[in-house]
Amino acid sequence: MSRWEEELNRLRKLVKAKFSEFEAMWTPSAPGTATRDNRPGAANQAGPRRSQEATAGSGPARGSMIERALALHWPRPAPDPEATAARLEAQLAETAALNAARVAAAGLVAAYRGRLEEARSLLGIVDGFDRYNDAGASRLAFQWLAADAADRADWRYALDLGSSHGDQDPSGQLRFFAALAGWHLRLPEQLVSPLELRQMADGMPDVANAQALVTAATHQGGPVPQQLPHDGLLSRAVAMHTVVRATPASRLQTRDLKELAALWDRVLRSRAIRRHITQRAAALGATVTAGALLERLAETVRSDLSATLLSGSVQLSEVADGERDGILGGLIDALEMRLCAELDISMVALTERLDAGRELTLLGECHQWLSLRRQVDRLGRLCGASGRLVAFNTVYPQVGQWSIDLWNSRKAHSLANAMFRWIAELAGGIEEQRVAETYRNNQEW
Amino acid sequence: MSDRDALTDNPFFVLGLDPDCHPMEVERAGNTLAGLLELGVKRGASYTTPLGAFERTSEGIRQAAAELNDPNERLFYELWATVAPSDARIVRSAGPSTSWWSNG
Repeated sequence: MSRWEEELNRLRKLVKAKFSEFEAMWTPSAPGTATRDNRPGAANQAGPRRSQEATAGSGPARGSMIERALALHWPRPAPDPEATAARLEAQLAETAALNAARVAAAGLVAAYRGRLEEARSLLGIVDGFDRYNDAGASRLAFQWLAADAADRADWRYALDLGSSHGDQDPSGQLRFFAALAGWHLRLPEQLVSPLELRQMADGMPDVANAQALVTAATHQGGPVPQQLPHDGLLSRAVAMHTVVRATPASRLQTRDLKELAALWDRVLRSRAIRRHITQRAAALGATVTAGALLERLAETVRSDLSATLLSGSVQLSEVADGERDGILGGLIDALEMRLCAELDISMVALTERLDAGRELTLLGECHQWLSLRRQVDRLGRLCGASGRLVAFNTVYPQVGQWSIDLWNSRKAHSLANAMFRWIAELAGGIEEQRVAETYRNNQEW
Repeated sequence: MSDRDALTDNPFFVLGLDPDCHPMEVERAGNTLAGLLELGVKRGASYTTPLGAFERTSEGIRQAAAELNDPNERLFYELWATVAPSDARIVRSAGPSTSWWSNG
């Protein structure tokens, strides 16, 4: 055995010993001592106990940070969870070395505070955030994201997490959520039998409501739009509008939105409806004209659909299909303009701060990047290729320079690396191969 | 023009009235529901819309009655009340909460 192999083995043993210590710390002392709560939303204590932040070479203080963040979510949290959360926030804000475990801790604190979008962003970048490839923190993040996806009925994402990372999760939670997703999405290749699903649920007592989740999945896939009952054009449009609003954003289909928009366009053009409004206005003594009332109706429809589209995964460009008239035309123009303006404002704020040399704490820098990233992702998701192009041109090269400065001046290598990776992906998505290559080469691991 | 939700805040649903109801019925329904709410009677505590059930409040009742007494507002909400809560046949299921991280 060569000297290098001996050294490698020595390191492996050291890491293993350290991990064992840490795992022991996270394992309940005796069966039955852990608190359980059967109410909906009760805490699951499975994944976190196996968190192996110690593999990142962290000392007890770092371990305790994620431990305390996690304890905020247990059925019997620390005696004073508010104070614990406040202390954690202060510590995390001042951290001089942002690693995967601390990003995960920040995400859990954000979730405790009810800032779920922020929690999603933070926990979404934990995997591969630092060079130590902290498997425990990644697993914890994936488990949270999968449960959160299930809560939001974003079954496609839950399925994706299970397929991509299920084998890294010995607790089986990711595979369980993926199996539930298979039922909700009615995907024949993903369906496990109800009995098997119940057995999976039995195998993870730490997941609150596991059996209830199985029942919900196998009996129905969430809100199910039924047959529309009305023959009248307006009634059909309102009924379909109701169905679209009742459907979880993640399950909305492009064709539903197209069909709804087409129905509303027919309502707005209908002479019979215009006549009905005029007659009814006369009967009630209303002074509003049919044109004004229909414009108000269209505005309400656009506002409802805009909220639906912003929270869903449907691409506007697919829905529009080149169409720039009617309900959809106005909606697309308004949304594109709004999203681009929001991104512009964020970039101006960032540029001003960087030009003035006002540094944030590392977690603050991370938050600002994640906020920008959410905006860019949304623009790309809603507006398709044109949105991605606009987003890239808006944020690059300022964000590129920002990431390089974080690397060079702040030595925030993990954060800068995550940003390099993101910029490379963005550039690759719009065929900017030279930029993509540069930022891929910037990455250290 | 109010910025209330045309479906979940629709005054016809809040007061449990049909869109072709007589103006007198608006007053009566408003008074009855406000009385029930004051007495804490369960029947008055919530109202149904095609998007599910919502809590009924005295402020909501007052506002709904005011809107239906304004012909322009009433006409707008009539358009949205063409689908009655029972007719929409939207099966809504909140489903069990999954969150293992929630201590709420």
